[in-house]
Amino acid sequence: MYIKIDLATCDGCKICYNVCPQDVFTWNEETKKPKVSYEEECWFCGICWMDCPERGIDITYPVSIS
Amino acid sequence: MSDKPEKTSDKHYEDKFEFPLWKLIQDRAEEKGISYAKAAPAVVAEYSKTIKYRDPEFEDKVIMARAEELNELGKKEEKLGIKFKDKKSK
Amino acid sequence: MTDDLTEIADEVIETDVLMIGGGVGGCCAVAKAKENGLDVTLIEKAHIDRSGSAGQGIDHYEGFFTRDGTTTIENVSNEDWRLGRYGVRYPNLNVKYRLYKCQFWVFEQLEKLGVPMRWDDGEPYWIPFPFVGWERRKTGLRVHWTNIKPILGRAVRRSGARILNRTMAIDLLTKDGKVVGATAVNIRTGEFIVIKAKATLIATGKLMRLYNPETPMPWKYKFRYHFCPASSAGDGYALVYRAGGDLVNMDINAWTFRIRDDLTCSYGSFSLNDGVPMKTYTWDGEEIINPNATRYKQLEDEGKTPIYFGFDHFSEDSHKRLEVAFADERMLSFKVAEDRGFNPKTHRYELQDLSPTGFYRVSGIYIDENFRVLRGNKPIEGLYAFGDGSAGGTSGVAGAATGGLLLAEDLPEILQDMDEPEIDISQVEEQKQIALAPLAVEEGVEPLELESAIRDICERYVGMFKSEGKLREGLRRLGSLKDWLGKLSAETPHHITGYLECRNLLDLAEVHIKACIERKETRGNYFRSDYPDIDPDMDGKFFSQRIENGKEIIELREPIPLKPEYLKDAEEEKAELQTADAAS
Repeated sequence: MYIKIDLATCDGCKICYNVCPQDVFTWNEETKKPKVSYEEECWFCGICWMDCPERGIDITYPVSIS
Repeated sequence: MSDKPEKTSDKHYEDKFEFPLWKLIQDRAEEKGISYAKAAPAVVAEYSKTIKYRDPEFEDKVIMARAEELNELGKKEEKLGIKFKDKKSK
Repeated sequence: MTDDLTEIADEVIETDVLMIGGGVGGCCAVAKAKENGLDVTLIEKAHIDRSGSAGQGIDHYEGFFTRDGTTTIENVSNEDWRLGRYGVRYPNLNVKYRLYKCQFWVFEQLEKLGVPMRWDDGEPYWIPFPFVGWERRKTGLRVHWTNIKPILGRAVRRSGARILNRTMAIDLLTKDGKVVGATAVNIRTGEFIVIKAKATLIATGKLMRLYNPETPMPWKYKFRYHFCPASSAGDGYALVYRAGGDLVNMDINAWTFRIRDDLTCSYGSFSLNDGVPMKTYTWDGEEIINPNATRYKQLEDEGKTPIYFGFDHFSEDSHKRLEVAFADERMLSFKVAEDRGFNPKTHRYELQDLSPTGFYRVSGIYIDENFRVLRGNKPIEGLYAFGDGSAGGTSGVAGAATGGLLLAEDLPEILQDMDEPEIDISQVEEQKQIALAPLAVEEGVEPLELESAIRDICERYVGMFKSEGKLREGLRRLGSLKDWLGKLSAETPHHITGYLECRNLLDLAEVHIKACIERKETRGNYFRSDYPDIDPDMDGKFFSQRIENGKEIIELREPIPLKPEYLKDAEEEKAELQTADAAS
């Protein structure tokens, strides 16, 4: 729930799926969209957020470091 | 300036604010329809011109002032017998 | 058993150079080796465009001693002395010396790869350092490298190297004491790959995951390290150790404040890179010098914690520099800070206690100045290492880039007379079985749970303040954890990564604890509650550990001093500098 992809904005470029250092995303071949499948392995680096050409990924930090 | 040290703020989440550089990066990204990572280099290059990076006299002054403060603080702690040095061989 | 590798492996590759790790160091090595006409294969666990410690970007390149590139014996040995705070000195000063000597050559090479070493006005920017005296002669570059990895990724693709992203090394392949390549697995498809190579190069980053992250979070997020966790699992250290190479200083690790208010302010090092240290405060506003571990304990006892970093003393100019550092290295920090109202002009960032963090700088894979991995005093044929995972000189982005470029420059001559590598097929079978085993385990344990247990042992039984009883208990419990490796399951190949990482971490935790048991003294930031004094017999010495004929060997050794030709070179340079100083 902390990494949200705006699927309406997403153009299926695959950059987030390709470059995530922790392999957090999987790719849905039918919808041509990414899915956050391993969120517990995310280290909140923001690479997907900063590389998305549509700026369509939102990241917030978990409650446990509030 | 008051001599009394200020305690850490009671508020944990403070008032909303904006980083000027971040606003510029976002604006450029939206204007060009590109990622934040692609927008950053040109914006940083421009923003850097408003910073005194190429003024070594200014920089040295700031650095030496802070170094002097730390020096004084170190001496103060030493006088109070505060041990902050790790054990080292000779 | 078949003799045909193609029956066992989904892909068999024969190459001159196998590069394991596609961070800054690995990408530089690959691009240069290709330029020098070699056949090069790069395997990277993640993706070269954003992998490694510099994946999000980096704001500094610290390679230089002096602005004119000279290196004196004093500079090298002074840095070595300064590192005494970590407890021991560099295992081999020649590595450091060689790296510092060629920094302007590295500058040119990086520019050729498309890396922006200069700012927009065409000039590089030298970092001002906050101290006077000899340290003021040491410097580095401030760089705007938000996109250093995409730039190097493009350079590697242009070079024509064979790139295997999402591919993790399982183990090195050896024959008659030589390293002849490695096996690997694609962590998305599960494909098993064999790579035969004349030279195998390792640059997989530093080891940090024996301990909890910089920002430890309760519940499920366990990867908030300061550097990329994928390149902080110590994979290269474990590969080398299992192949019989030496690991050194595995008792000594760096330490840091845990950061409660995670903003990746790098414990204030962003501000240090601009020459102005942050302030450290007690909760009631008293400014203090950054405490070490014993001082922090004292502050707790006195009721002065929590402690905080602050930038509220910064001028407008310095605040702008901090913004630029965020953009260069940790862009998400902007959003996180704004979302929470953590304004650096007013907010004080809470730190937690000091705790062990990574094994690098003086710790890691034992190499010589030709980046050959050593077994005892002898190099292992066919095996090389550089970057954060190698001990004694190739750490940091400058160390990694320099090591990779220098080694790639040497490789054509090294490989000239090398025989074609021969593979022991039984090793291949064994490694395939190991790697793919968790795919067949049903209702098993998640790799992250086992990893959490490994980290808990290091936190609880090793930690900052060690003692014999705790260390022995930790070793005992670690032994029991090894039985759990076979119970890990991987529902998809993705989880093979975590499983192989656990395998590596189990080996490395054992190496770490055994080294700590041996060092019976307190020195620098190495604390033994049961041995509170320095042992002068340990001055300058370090432990090396390896496996030899199935047996674990731990040796206390003297550092390798500067070679006579380097000493002569350094003395001549120093004399020239003194003459120049006197004349000016």
